[in-house]
Amino acid sequence: MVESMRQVTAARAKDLPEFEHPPVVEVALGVQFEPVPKLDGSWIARFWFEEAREQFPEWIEAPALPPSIEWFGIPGQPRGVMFRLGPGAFANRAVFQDDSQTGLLQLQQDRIVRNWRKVGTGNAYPRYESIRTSFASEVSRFRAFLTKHQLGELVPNQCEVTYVNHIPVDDVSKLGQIGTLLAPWSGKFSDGWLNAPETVEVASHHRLLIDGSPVGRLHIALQPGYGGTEAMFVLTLTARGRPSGPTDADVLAFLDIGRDHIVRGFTSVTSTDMHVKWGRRT
Amino acid sequence: MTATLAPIEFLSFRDLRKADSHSVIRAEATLSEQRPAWLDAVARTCASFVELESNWDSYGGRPVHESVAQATSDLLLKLARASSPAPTVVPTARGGIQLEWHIPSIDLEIAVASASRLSAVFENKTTGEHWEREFQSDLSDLVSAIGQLPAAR
Amino acid sequence: MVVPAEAGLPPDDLSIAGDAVLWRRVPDLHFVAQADGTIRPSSAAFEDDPDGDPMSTVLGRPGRDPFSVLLGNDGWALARVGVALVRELGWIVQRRPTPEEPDHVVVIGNKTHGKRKRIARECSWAIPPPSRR
Repeated sequence: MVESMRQVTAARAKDLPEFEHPPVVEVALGVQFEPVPKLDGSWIARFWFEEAREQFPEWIEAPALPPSIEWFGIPGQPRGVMFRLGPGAFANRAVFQDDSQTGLLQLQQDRIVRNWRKVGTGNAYPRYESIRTSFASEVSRFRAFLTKHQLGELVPNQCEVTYVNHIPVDDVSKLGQIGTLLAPWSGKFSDGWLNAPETVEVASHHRLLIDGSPVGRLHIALQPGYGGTEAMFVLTLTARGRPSGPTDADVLAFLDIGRDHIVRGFTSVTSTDMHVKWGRRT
Repeated sequence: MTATLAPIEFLSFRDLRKADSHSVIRAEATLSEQRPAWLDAVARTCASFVELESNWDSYGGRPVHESVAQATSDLLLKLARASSPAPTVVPTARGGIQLEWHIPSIDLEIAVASASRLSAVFENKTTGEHWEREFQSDLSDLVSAIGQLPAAR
Repeated sequence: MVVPAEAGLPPDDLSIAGDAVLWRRVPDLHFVAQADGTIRPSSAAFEDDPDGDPMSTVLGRPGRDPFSVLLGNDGWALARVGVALVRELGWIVQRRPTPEEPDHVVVIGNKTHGKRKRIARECSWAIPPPSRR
């Protein structure tokens, strides 16, 4: 029997911070799994046609994402992927898009991702629980599709939750002034020799611990950016790690942990002044 | 790279050199001073295994999956030291990659079955340390084993 | 030494004597240089088939030309594995003749990395790599 992810509901912790209008512009929930070699372009096309086309009528091709695994025990490991096979090496990633262009479902041989993104000034953040429900449904359908057509098994090896936040600044000249945004940044140099930074990028990496054992990481990255003509800070938080087991319930459980860490991490790393601006409720 | 698609141009644009398909692009060389000299060549060997034909070993051997080639290169970048000797790199029938070091006192083989499934067999004939294990998330033992490899000449 | 086979395996074909040898093709991609300068097969050369079938070999009958087993892959080598070693690892052997290969024998058992490594170490060459001929 294919287990239905929809039956497992997310329980929001009562002390989880909540904001009236958080600066989130994109949320992605994803599962990496052991490659399914039989899931080639023709089968992905068939999945789209049979299972996804009604909700996601548009299809965009994109380069496949390389695997991203959280390993531990490696001292001083370099961050990110350091080697990249050439653009023709990977099978493609299919990006299915809904009519509003805010909802995406991405599929490749070893990964499925559900995105919500803000387009223009409309469509408020629909909240994690809503995106989770959609993703649960899509993974169930995908797992059933693999079984029905004897393509292989969905064996999850990493789960990830990503929140992308855009924090506009009045002027591009303020992209070096992150002290008002980031709580840990004092902006104080030991002397006055350096002039003010033009831009600043910050990255931090935190272990996700369960019962004292590392199960994943929370990655926080702040970069300057442009959206159209607007200058802004882009604050990205990604929680990634191995689920405790192969079932849909295990995947959902990790996504819930990841989301919890992202919200708490976002609250912790950003300043209380910004919390007021974003309308912190709890 | 992430799975997000928020339309944004970063001011800090990272320039990736263009290359032919199945070549290796080195991006973000943040620790180049610790990179072994053989790393590029090994990465290219891993990439070449993606091109193997089905039944390349006459026993039904499968080509290496792209993600395995990528993961093996990334793993070596994380684990190998500048002084580490080069491994021998071989494809496996199931589409994985195996890294091997056979040195008078040390024997180490690391099997990369997929990006998340690693196993290894290690033997240090001097100390008597000997183990065979699979790795779920903690690679400390692999780090230790590679650290015991004598420096390349 | 008589070592019991791994649990759950089919019966061992005892008509294949312990001093018999099995031949296994080794593609050039599996040639590995050793510390002493010799070339041995990689342990990866002794896996089961990726479709799940057990490891294929050919019974090395006296008088049979080993080159016939290479199937025209002249740049390859042919490993010689003793049946006694196979049984010592807890594996069993079964004849599975085919029209193309009447001496086809499969080796059944859990091909752990450690056991394959031992095979790689203790086998010899029926046909060595070209550079060593």
